[in-house]
Amino acid sequence: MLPTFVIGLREGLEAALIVGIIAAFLAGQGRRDALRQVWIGVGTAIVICLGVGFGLNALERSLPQRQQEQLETVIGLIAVGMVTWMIFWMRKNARHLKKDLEGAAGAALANGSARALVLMAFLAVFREGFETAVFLLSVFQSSTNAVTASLGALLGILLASVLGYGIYRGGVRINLQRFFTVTGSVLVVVAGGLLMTAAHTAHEAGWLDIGQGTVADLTWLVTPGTAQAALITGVLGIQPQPTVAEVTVWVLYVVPMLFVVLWKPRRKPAAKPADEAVSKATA
Amino acid sequence: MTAARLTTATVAAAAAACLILTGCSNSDDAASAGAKKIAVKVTDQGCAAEPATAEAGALTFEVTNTDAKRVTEAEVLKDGKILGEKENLTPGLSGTFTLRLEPGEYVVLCPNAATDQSPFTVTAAKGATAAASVDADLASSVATYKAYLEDQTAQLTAQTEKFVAAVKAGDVAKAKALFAPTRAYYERIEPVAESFGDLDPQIDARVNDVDPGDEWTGFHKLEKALWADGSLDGTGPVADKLLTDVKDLESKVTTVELAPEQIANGAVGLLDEVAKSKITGEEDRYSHTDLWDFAANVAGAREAVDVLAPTLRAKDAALLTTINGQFKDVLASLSQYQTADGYEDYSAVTDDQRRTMTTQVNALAESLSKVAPLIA
Repeated sequence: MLPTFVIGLREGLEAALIVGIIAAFLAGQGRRDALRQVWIGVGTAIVICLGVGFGLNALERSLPQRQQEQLETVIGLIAVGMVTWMIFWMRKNARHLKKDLEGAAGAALANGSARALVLMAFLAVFREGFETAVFLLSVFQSSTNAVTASLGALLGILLASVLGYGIYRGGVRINLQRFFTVTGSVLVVVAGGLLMTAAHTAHEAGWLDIGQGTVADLTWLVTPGTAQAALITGVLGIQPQPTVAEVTVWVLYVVPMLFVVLWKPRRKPAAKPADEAVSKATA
Repeated sequence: MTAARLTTATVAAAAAACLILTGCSNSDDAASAGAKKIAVKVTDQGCAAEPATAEAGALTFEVTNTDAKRVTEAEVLKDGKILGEKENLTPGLSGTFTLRLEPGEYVVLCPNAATDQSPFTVTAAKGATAAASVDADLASSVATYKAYLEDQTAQLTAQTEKFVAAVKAGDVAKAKALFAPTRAYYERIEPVAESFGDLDPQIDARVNDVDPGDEWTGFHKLEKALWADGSLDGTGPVADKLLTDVKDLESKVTTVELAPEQIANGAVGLLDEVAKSKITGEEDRYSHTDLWDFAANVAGAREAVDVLAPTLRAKDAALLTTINGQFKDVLASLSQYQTADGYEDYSAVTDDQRRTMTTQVNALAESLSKVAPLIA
């Protein structure tokens, strides 16, 4: 039960995480309309992936691993770009956002950006969905321990969904300014993890063959086959034995981005938030 | 984005993904047909291919996890590059992937196992080895024959220089003596010279081969001057042109690209020369040195068969035996007319003897014509 639970959790988390962040972001912006489309997109992706899974199963074909890894790499990189853009957007607009009101006029999310986020949520599920659907089907058909193995896998995905939902709820509860200052650095680390995962899948896709030496043995922390490892790998992208390439892209991304997030430009003493709001209103 | 537009986008994306995925699994299916199966049992201790050695070709790796808790995937790598893998194999699950592997050393990797790597060796397929060795033999045959060509044309140039010097000095006796031995170098490789367009007619045309309006040049024009006219007057330019053409041939031969079957076809061409123009005595109608050319043609064909012998022996040993026997017959006939410094005047050979030699040469040519299709 544990091995299937771990894989269900790991595969589910990567998608749940991105969807949760996007949903919280959109909700914080008062874009309930876009939020509804996120759920539609996620549902569509799940249906398509299950359909492909059943289709491949019926045709007795296997999922071509290399193409799957390539798909995951590309979508992973798009997700990194998307989260990065969100970090910059929030940094720029956090100051202007009213503490208690959702979606101040001055920082309203453009329709095009909202659409892009909806598409991203769809792709995030699409990315892991094929593999997970195929995995689930093979678990259901497993000759040994089919029941407990299936239960484990479903519980893993369920927990991942709960965690994703938690991110969404938590993100909604605190206002965007707090969301940014509190979670900005967390977002950077998450995006860094996505980049590490992309470096990992790029190697499996046959695209990245340099820097594959192991840098450190983190199996004490990311003990393979445990829920703890699934959480760490799923959320932070950290592999049990990270390679030079994985660590390099992580450092190159996370260090400058943390600087961007934590460095606060000095505010002019005169520009109090209240005055600012008034001047905006009269403008 | 409206729900409808979103749906359109998702369907398009899904269709694209399905195309990519199913398109590629087709090739996997094609590769797995008749593929040899390699079992990879995944445990927490490690994984190893069983058997650990296989012949090159399509190989299907059947990965099974019975009770490994830490290890849920297996990969096949070459020089750090992942060639194929199966992921998400929890206890009780199994999966396959098919790869077409070249000979070499590979690694079976199952991340997180106590010993995560084990070697996997792919050896050359037995059929492929034989084919590769035939290719190597043929390549070496071509190289050997090429060296022969270059040697013959170099000697042709050296001899032609002496012959031309005698002609231009007006030394009829010396020129006559050098005529047949010089031509021998040309006659051994004539089919190759024929491949260079105008060079062969310029060097070797008989008077009746020259188109009206074209100038007659080459060995046979000088032959006529030496034997029929008895005068070398005005032959200086012809002699100079002959030397130029022969040197041209020597330089062109160094760049010629030969296929094995061209060597075999050349041998057949040499024997056709014998049957067509030597037996009849028309080639050297003034000097009657036809037997020299005859011997040179046969020697050139013999060389071609000798360089191809390793391949021929492997492909059809019986044919090689037949050819060798027929060469012996032809050479035995020729040897009857050998003299201390060359060959008898062809006019001394009787019609009966000519018919015997024709039969022998035709039989040999018939056998040689079977060589090219065998090695092409």
